[in-house]
Amino acid sequence: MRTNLGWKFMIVLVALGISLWQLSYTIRNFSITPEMRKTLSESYVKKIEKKALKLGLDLRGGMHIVISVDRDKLPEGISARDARDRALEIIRNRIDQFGVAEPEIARQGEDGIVIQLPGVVDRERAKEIIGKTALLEFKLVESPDNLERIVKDIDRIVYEYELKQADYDTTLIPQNPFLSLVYRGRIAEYDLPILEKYLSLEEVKSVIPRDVEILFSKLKEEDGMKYKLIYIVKRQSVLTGEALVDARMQIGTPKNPTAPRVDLTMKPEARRKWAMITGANIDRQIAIVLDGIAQSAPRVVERIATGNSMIEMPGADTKDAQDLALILRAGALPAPLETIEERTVGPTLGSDSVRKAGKAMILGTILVLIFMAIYYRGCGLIANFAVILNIFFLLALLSGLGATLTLPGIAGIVLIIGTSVDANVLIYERIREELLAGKTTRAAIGAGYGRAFRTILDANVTTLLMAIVLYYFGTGPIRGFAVVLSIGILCNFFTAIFITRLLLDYITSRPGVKRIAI
Amino acid sequence: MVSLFGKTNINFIDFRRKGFIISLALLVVGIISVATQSGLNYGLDFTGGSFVEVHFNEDVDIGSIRSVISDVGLGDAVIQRVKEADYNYMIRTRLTEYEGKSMGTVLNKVLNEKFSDNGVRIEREEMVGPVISRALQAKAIWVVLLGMVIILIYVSVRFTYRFGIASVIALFHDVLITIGILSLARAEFSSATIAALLTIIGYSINDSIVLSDRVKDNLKKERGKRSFSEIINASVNQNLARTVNTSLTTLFVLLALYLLGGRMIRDFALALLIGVIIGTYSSIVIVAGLVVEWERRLPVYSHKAGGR
Repeated sequence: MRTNLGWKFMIVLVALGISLWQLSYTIRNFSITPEMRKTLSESYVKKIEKKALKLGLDLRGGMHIVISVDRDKLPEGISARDARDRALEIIRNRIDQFGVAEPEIARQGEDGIVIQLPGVVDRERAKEIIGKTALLEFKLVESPDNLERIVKDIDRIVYEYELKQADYDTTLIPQNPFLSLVYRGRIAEYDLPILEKYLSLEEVKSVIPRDVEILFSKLKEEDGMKYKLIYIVKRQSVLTGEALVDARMQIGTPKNPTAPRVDLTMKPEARRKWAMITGANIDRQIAIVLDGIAQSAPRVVERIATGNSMIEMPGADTKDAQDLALILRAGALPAPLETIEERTVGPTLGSDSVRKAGKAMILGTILVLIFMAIYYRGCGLIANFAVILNIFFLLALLSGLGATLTLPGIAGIVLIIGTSVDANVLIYERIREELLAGKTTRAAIGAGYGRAFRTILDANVTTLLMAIVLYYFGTGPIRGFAVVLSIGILCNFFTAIFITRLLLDYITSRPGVKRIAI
Repeated sequence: MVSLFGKTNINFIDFRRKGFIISLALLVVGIISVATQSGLNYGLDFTGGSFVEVHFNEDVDIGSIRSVISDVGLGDAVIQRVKEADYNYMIRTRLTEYEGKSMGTVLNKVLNEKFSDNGVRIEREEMVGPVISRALQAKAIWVVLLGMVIILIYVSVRFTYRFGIASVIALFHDVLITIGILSLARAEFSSATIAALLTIIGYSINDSIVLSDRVKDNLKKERGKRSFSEIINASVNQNLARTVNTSLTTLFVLLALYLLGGRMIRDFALALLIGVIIGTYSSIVIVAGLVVEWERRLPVYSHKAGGR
């Protein structure tokens, strides 16, 4: 009996430990003040945010937009799904421009896209970014000679600027402050702000030839290192997306039969121009630019007269190739979109909701705890312990599963408190009856749990079934409610039955304990 | 040992007729309320349109807001003051956009022009297009039907025939009365209300299960010793502590949420609150009452037991 209890205690302790570790991220996340945020390293804050309990847009404020393909304006021969995927790629390409920490962009149904922008959002700007027509351009990358000259000019100006700015040992300033930020055409994410500052200097702008512009890729990641690629290109585009008919990902290149490639088909009227461009620029790179963001810069190998080009992508996987094909198609024919749903909650209202609902929940819980302690005395305390543990495990599981806590979710926690109490009440009422019927304490506990279990199971199953139905019905906030309810019920079996039984068994197994306060 | 219900013996069965009348009255009141308000107060989810909550630093009157927005053709908008927040107004329109711009943008512009220096700010904006609102309407109907079917299957497996039927009647009773009272309170009927109703369905069945389990136990033990209605009444009384304690604790927290939880959650908390109260009442009065009534008219138990 004793050893048996020991094992059970181990299980509970391990569960507690894991939950505590999981919740520590949430606690740390909420204790970071805006001032602290500035001093802490970004990767540390991000790591904590990632593992902490996520709050829904209704609690933290933000914008939720659903757009869908306007089927009436959809050109023939293009499925809504394909058009949607093109639009999705375009919006992902512009993701940086939203200016929020964790934008979420996801497919919804056949032809919809859901965009979630947490925090303070400039609504008009966000809608503009989403709705803007895509512009795909092909731009010639500068020749190596010109590149070198431009970079040298920029470095000279930036060096002078840094000398003027410096209030420290000027010998520490590199001779090439601009170029030193670039390694193999890459700029690390943390260097981007400095680079942007340099490029925004009037003196720097003046040494860059007027027909040249500097472009960046999307933020990429390799071996945990985040970076952007930098391209110096001719400002004038040689061709736009209108010249394209189609772009498809295919497998197999002349060098590697399993490597992905992208096949491009030009419109007949663009073929001659394309032949001219490629013919004149053999061995030069042509950057594919969507909405001002460089996607790829394949090197021209030969003059292409047929209009059918092949882009080899050394080192890329099929996903990269598929994305590029999608972007090329998107640029060829932007999908007609319409906003079908939009919900914005101001950050003031969101934090107001968190504060009030949180306070209400805590107050309600305290009332319940007091009631249980008075009504069931010693056993009431055990039940209270179970209620608190239930909320604790519930929150830990929510954050561990990456679920989102919404305002209705808080109502779900409130209901779970009721469910948790209910299970214990059912058990205690049964134990009381068994005691009144003359059973010994331990026999009464055994019988009470045994007889109440089936009822508790049934009672919880109906709620669980309804929660599952709700999960499929609901969007955002309501889904949050369903998730809380389901997980809470599962936790309830562990806390209200397993843990309370363990505690009662432990107490009554001690020598000298003959009665329990119930 | 504190025990409020140690040896209660309240005669619920004799109360059943009065109970039926009360329930009927509540139902009628609900129906009248829904009818006189020409339907439920559907939320944006189901009607479509736009909803904008505007904040002002100093109070303005509804008339002046209306006159400003009439100029952009929104004269028929519904404007309401938000009671809990200082100087917030809700403006609801049927249109989803105006000249290609969202309502929030339009209202922000015109109201800022008229009430400059009044800190006009859009606190919340919702727009639900016709595609979504139609989809949500269909979904709401499906989800309620699906919930019902699942409960019916569950009930047919888990309950005896008569208890099953009585529980399902009680379930309709709970849902309809909750809707009626929500209509009286002029609460909004939204997706969240559907969520609350489904939760209430789960709770209502849960209460009936506990009672039915107890009755089964008692019927086994006491067959022939006591009349059917006595056994039912004893079962209700034995369960009373559990039923009341559970409902009370749930009500504590829900009431706290309703009163202090802020306006965004109020209607949801209200729906759950009403549902829990009605659900508790119906498991005691309606389910038990119906089963007894049925037995009186078409005795099954008494025959087997050899009469009363």
